[in-house]
Amino acid sequence: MAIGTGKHWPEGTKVLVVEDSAATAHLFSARLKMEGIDVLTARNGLEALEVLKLEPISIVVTDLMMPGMDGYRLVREIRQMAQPLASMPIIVVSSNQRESEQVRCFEAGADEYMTKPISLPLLVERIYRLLRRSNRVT
Amino acid sequence: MSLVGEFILMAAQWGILTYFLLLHGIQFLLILKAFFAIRNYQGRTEADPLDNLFETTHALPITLVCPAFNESAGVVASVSSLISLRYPEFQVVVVNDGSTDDTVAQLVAAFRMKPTKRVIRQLIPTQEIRAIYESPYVRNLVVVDKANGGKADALNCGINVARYHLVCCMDADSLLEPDALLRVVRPFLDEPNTAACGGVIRPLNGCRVTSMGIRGIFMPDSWLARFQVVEYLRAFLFGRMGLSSLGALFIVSGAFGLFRKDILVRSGGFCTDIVGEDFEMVVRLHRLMLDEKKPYHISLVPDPICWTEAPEHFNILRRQRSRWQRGLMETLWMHRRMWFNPGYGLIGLFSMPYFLLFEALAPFVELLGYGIALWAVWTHTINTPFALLFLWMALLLGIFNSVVAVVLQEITLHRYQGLGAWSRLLLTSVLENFGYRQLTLLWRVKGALDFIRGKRSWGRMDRYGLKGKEETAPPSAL
Amino acid sequence: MTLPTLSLEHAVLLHVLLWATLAMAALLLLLILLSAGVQTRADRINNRRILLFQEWEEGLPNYLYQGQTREEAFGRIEAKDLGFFQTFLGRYRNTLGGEDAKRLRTLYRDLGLEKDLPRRLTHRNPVVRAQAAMEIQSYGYAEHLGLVEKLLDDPKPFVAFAAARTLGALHGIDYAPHVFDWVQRQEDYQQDRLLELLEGFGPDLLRWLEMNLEPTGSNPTPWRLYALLAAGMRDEESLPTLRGLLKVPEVELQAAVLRAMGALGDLSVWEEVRPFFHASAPALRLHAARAAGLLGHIPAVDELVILLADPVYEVRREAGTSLMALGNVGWEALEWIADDPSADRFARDMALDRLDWGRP
Repeated sequence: MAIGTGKHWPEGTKVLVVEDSAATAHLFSARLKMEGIDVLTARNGLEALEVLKLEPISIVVTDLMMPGMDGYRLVREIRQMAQPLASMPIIVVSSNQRESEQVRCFEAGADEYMTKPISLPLLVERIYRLLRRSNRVT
Repeated sequence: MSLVGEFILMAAQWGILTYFLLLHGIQFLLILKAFFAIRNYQGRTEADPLDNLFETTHALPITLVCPAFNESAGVVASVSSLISLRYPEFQVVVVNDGSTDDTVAQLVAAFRMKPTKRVIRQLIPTQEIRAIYESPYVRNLVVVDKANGGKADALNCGINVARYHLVCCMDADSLLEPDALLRVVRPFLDEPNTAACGGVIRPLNGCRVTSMGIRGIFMPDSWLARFQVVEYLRAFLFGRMGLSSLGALFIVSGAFGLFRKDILVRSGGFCTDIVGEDFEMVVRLHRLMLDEKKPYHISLVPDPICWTEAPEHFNILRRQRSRWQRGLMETLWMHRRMWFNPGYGLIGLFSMPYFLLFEALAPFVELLGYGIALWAVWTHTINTPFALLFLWMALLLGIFNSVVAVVLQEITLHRYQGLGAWSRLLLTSVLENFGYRQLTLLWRVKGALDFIRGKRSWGRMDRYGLKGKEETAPPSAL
Repeated sequence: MTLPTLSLEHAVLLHVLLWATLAMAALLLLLILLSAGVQTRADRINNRRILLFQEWEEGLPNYLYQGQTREEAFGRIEAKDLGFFQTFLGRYRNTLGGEDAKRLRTLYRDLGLEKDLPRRLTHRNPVVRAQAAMEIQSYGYAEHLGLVEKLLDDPKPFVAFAAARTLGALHGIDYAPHVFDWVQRQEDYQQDRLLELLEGFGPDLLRWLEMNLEPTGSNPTPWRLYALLAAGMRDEESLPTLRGLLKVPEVELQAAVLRAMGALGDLSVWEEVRPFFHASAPALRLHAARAAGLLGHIPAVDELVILLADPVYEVRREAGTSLMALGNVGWEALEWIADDPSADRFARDMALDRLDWGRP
């Protein structure tokens, strides 16, 4: 029942949402699933890395502040992995609005940085655009 | 027997009985008070969950100071878990107190650290710093390598190095819950003028530990450890929580406490010549703030957020308890100016006398009680009034308080899972009074004797009040 | 030798002890039952809450993105569950913005939850007060800001903080004086988070301050806050004022202004910043060095190299960091010093340190 926005998503798109707040993760997940794509969730960076090793993820959407491995370190870790994982599109979604933080994340290799509060349809747009640009299929 | 002798012995018996009635009575009242305080606290925390605190920038940055001595076996794991704590902004300062093993090398290798030539202002005088390491990969970690000076000295060094205004002092072998900092900082947000806040230490023995913290809380197998679990609940959780809710909290455990850095510096730092430096610091804080006539608040957070391994080995426990007693008496003696002194308010008029009478003197009075009871039994039978009353108080009142503490703990903090653990806990709280308490009594007497026999420290007053010697702070990089 | 016994009758004593024991057992039982009762009730409420939350979690995306109405998405919300629903919505307060936030606000209004706000703002439970203030911020009910202002004097710091944040975020510039006063009364160690809070007011606050603060002569302290705010907001319009402030001989103030000038990134200030490289106060040299790095002004290399040999460590470090920020020119300068055996020892140390640090 992909009622979503009627976008044409690449075949086999799988989004990994890394977020320690269960409520937020659930909402992100639900909204993305409406687009008819697969969504997996992880509660922190370490879990995310596990998932990345096992599943063919198309794009990662991660929070910054999480226990265990935080978002910043996750971005760094991904960029240091072997290809094709290293060029995985990554969107950071965080309530930290400081410019220094944003710069830091971009330097680590994040592709996009969105500050909370965000509007989910906008997030979906960004994900879609990034996927199209990187032409990412499993 | 002479009339005087008879009179003295009668007075002693009445005295001891009254003493015990008071002791257990006050403990019971503190336990009750603590129960309400805990429920109050829970109401507050349930309504304002930690997620809120974490997401928004309510929280205050903290520096965690972790002294380490010959910890090469577990230091990397400990530090890894520390830097993974759930808190928006904090720093971890590991102070290597002149270890003779490769503690520092382990840390440098694990976190890819490099030496920096940072110059540290000695706001509190400490032993010489040999090197300071930082890592470009883990921005919030600093490792300080210094000459040996003891735990207090290491803490003081960490305070000097600390970047933030709130400093959390902990033990190297304490295990912190991931949310520990979020919980312990709350009083700084809730109460104005909070100067310090302590956490409740819980025995780790028998619990299941994972990388995400404690995942299963079970009763340990060893009896010695079990007795300590009950003891911790009764004395450390409820006893202190009760005192805290009265505003008379006296101890913030050295295993975990959050302090304001400026107040720590103003007080002169931890005292390096005594055994119970954590206890002494809190007493000194009270004294400093009361002397300065500034409003202040010292709190305790009842959530189990800090876990430590309780000694299961007989000799180690024995040494620990006599050390605690010695430390207690050293500190009380050091601050004898506060005894019964109305100038120090509740602390001078209630806390100090309470600790003097019911903690410092307790082992002696109890020993005397047992002595007289035994004498009574030997010369008459068990049916003498004193023996009956004393044993009834020592045992039944003791059991009562222990069971009340255990029951209330289970009801409010819900930590032990399963009927099995629950019943073991109850059984332990009963059995605790048949042997374990008496043992700790003997150990405490030994500690007290150690103190009296001359392991005293004199004239540490020159440490407190370093105001004249305080150096100006380095240029603020704000 | 026999112990003189207490003159208590044996039978009576036993009797008393027995009854005392029974009484204590009864007391214990009472305590257990009472607290168990209280706890079961609390547990039941909590379980209900969890259940409700799970249901509503399923319904929320449908309401927000599938165009369902409140009834369709959440079913009927009982009056007694409204409190829970409020908490439920609160979980998304900081996450959802834009259109989603508008939908949430409609939901909030539909349920009449905002009618309760004035009462909750003066509730005796401080958590309720703080939450009410935060909701006003999230849902934008500016009509209640007057009541929120009163919370600035609340005895609980976290309530006052929530109030100040709300006033800032909703740009209640009328309340700025009061908030500014409040900030100045707070503890030093809270400075960082308070600055962030004031930044919520935006440049309007700076304009207001320019017009209403007393001239620096009488009291430079508020102006320091002004400078720090200008730095945080990167507000270019405050540059003229900042230039004037730089002339005031107050170290704390000048340091803050230098910081702001670095943050604003306007190179025209260079000649005014330059003299501070030779100031007697280390704080000023430090901030001047930092500003040079932030401004990215290449000719500053010469001055920074001099500061690399400064007697104060923090100043040397800042000079080194700024040289790194100046790209190739700065890097080469550092290398040159590091390789020069006749260079000042401290400068060399710092150069080596910074180069080493910069290497991946």
